[in-house]
Amino acid sequence: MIATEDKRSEYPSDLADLRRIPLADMPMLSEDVLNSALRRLVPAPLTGQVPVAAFNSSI
Amino acid sequence: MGLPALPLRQFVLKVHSRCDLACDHCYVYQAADQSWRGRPMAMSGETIAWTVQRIAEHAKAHQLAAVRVVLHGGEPLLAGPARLRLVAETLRAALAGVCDLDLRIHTNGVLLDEEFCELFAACGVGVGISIDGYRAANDRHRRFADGRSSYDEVVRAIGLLRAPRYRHLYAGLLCTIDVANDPIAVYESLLELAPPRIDFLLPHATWDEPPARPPGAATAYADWLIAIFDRWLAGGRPVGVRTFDSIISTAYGGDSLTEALGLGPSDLVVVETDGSYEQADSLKAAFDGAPATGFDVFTESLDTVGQHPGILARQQGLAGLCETCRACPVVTSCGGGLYAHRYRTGTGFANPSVYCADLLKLISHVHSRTRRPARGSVQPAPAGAAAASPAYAVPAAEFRALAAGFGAASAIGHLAETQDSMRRALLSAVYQAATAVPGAATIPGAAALDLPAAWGLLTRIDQSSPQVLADVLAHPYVRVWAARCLEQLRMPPGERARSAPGLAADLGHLGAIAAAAAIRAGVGARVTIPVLDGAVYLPTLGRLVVGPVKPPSDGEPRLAPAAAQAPVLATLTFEAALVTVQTPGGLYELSGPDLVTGGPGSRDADAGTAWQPVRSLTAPGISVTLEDTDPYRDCHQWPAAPRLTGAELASWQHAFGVAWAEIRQLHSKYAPGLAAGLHAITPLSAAPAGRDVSATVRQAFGAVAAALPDDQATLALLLIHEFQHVKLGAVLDLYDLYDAADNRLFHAPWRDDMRPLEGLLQGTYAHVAVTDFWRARRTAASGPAAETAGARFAHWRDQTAGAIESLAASGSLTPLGEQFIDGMRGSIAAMLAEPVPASQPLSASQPGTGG
Repeated sequence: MIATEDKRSEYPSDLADLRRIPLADMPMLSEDVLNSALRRLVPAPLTGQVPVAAFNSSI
Repeated sequence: MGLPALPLRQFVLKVHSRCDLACDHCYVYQAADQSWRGRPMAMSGETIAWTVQRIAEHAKAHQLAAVRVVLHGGEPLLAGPARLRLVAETLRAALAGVCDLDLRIHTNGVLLDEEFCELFAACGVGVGISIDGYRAANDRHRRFADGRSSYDEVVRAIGLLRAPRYRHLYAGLLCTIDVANDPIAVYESLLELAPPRIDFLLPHATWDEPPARPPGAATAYADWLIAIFDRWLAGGRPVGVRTFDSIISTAYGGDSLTEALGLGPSDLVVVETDGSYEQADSLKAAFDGAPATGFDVFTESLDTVGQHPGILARQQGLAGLCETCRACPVVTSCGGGLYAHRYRTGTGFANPSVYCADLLKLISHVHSRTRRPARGSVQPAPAGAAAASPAYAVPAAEFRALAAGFGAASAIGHLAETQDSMRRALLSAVYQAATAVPGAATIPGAAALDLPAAWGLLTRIDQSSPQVLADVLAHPYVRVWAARCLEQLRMPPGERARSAPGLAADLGHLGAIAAAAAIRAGVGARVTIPVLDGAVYLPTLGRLVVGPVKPPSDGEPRLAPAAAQAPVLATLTFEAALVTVQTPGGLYELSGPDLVTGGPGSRDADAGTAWQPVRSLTAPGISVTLEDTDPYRDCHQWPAAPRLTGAELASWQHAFGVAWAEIRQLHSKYAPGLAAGLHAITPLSAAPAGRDVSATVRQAFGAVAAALPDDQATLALLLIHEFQHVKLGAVLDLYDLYDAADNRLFHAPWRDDMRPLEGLLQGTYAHVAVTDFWRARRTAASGPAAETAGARFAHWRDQTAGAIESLAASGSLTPLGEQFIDGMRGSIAAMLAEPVPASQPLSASQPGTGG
């Protein structure tokens, strides 16, 4: 295979930089953001959670 | 209604329609809708059966991963244990193998007793309790019909849930706001009840029936909540508060945790005691009949209900809001507030919330207080930082250097930064999964773990000493632990019970991580820690031997500490520089500062104490942890060695010093990367045949494991070889270089067995460096040593070149993967151009090969 000249200045990943998110807020990140961090590490869907807004009158 | 209907995933079952309290602020009985008067008191067996069938068929048809069911009322405990058992068991049976079930009950607690708690423990039912604060605050509204206080009964019920046997059932507390109550006193009184989470509810109101406000206090509800928020924030967020967490989450681009906030679609339906489907019951506050759909479980499916205009209206996000809301700067967090609170006769629900001014003030305040400066920067991150968080990018020059097989300190630094984010996400995911109700209820032994305390401690250290926490989390085997926990937590409960009986002990390690960070940061702590293999282990610090220490393995590597249904627990307290560890067998006291600095109090157990500190290997320009205490280090292809004796440590130190000198002198292109990214060396037990063994695992970024070889040059080769795997593993954490769905096996010249594509890629990348090692050695050596090195160089460059072409021909590389292969090919091409003597036979076993 002949290498194609690559003039990019950087190689972006889909992994979001989460270092500025306080740890206390991490459980509230969207599933997309979390999956971008975890999908290659533990390749399975995040399941078992009901991600939408919960019933107001219970906790 | 531009958007299609979503599947319904939350089901509120009104199992009983009456209540044993007569709270004067109750929306069920005191609001506009009075439909309860015509309904049966309790849900019948037939209605239960139909309801469960509808939920199961809906979950199956939409392939839902999970549903949440809330047993509600009235007062659901009035339904009695037998009826509640029928509901819970019927639900669990119908949904087994279909989807996960998050089953909860919300009660006033008055009737809660051990019989109910045993039932909920058996059926995995989380329990939420309503209480409005301290005694006088609670009794302002929450009284029996005869005026008696309910406070003592409710606190008694909460006490039951706080008992170790039932603590895993304790879902949280709901508090309805009355601005006449002292907000801080309310908050503190709830905090004393040690709930896992709290929520403060705005009393239901509409533009027709506005909420009570003190004269001149236009934002009394915001002011009340802001007082609590500030105390909560200053206290390090000691408990989840759903309203505050939702505002923060939505500001970061995440989901709201409550239907009262955010733009997320509602996927909720209520089933009344007579089997009628209703919309959210908060609509009872709007007008008589407002929640009705006209459908019931006997005749209509949940898909039909999902098409009801009232359900659809609450799934439209921004488009479903009035013009005022759509133009509001905080609409993402507010979402127009609770749907019922928007109602006004004439315009219906096309209005801002009657709490609009309060919500605007509260949300603006929370946003302003939760911005966080970037590490090492004084610039504030914008609100919504998570949504806008930049994706990582590796500069092209550094990516190409990595692809060629090298990578300077800056390239390794880029990879390490990405690991930081992944570790935080992993840690959070483990905590979320471990504490999900009723997930925790299904883990034997987990009820005794106080994971919220450990998590709370971690979040406080993250606020006060973020670099200390980052350093502890960067210990390579923290990620090994976290990934293992998450994999186990994601198993279906039945498989988890079979395959991960020691999960509770694993989860308890969260407390050990928090304790290590607290001791390093000088933050007071009290956490529960498992005793693993006879020791209490503190990552990055060492272990306290409290019993007979088992060898790390009995000849076979294993991925976790020995399985145990109920872990042995220790309580670690750190206060006034003193670390106290209470185990079932005794009390141990250690100096916290000495553990961190290696002072006199951290002497090795060999010297007569129970403490075994983590030790280091050092050489000019490098210092690495010699990891021989971490219980999660025994995760490699080869078994980990037991704790090294002093003499063994000295041998390692000598070999490391000589090997490092060779790396700096002969293989200098690899030295900066190693110095920057090699954090730990884990001694392995020598292989029986005496061959050299070394290993890495993908989850342990920064760690290389090896048995001490006979000569130092081989150690240099093992370190270079294995660190190639570390680098490539981190690249693969960041980029997709190949099609992960390709499950073919490939021949690898250095292995007897066939390898998957990633294995071939890893081995090839390592052998680019192996070839380069022998290239340098043949140049530096003379005589027979040079001849041997030359032969190995010639052999491995040909084999590696062939492997590169196998990868290229696989057809499964991504465009970026092809570029990465090009980098390796370029390095080997330069070596192929070098003249070599006629080929010589090679021994079957060569050092530094494999992978």
